Amino acid sequence: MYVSTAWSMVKAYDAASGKLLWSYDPQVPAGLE
Amino acid sequence: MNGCCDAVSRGVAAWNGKIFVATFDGRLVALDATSGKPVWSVLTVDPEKPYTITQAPRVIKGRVVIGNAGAEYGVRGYISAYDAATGKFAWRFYTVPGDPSKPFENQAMAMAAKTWSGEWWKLGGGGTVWESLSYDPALNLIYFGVSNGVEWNHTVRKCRKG
Repeated sequence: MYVSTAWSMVKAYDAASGKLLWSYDPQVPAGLE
Repeated sequence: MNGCCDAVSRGVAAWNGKIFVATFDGRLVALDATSGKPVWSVLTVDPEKPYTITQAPRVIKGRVVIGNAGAEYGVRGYISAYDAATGKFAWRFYTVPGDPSKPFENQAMAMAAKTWSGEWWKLGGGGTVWESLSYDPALNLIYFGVSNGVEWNHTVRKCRKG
């Protein structure tokens, strides 16, 4: 199962167990002007 | 970064062993679905302008289609398509006309420009496609909504002609 979160991060979970398989952080600059 | 309306993400697309996500700062990234490693990444917006993306990409016939947001701060809305396998740019469709002193991208923009007044292009015109779009495979049509125009106040962007 693939989901996206705040700050455009992506996480992949095993749909049967809920175990986190991988996560991706695109490193969006978070500082607000 | 300069962006309106919170750094949410409205989802990903999955196709042919890849996961596609658009980033808040305007990139479109393809990830290997098994490893999560980036396969390609393209910048879909002018980083000097206050574009953001919170939209979920859609994959249509081997191309990833993505819009953007930012009309609140002054940008020109459009959707773009990229080859899902390589990230190569395929096409772009603007939703509002640009600077009329430059050639219009298509006949629709030339027609649309006649309905605008003032110097709307200096603030972009708005009309961003920020919510995820829809596709009808039977009719081979893409459907999308657009945001507010810019200037927000229509009496300014239409010189009280609207």
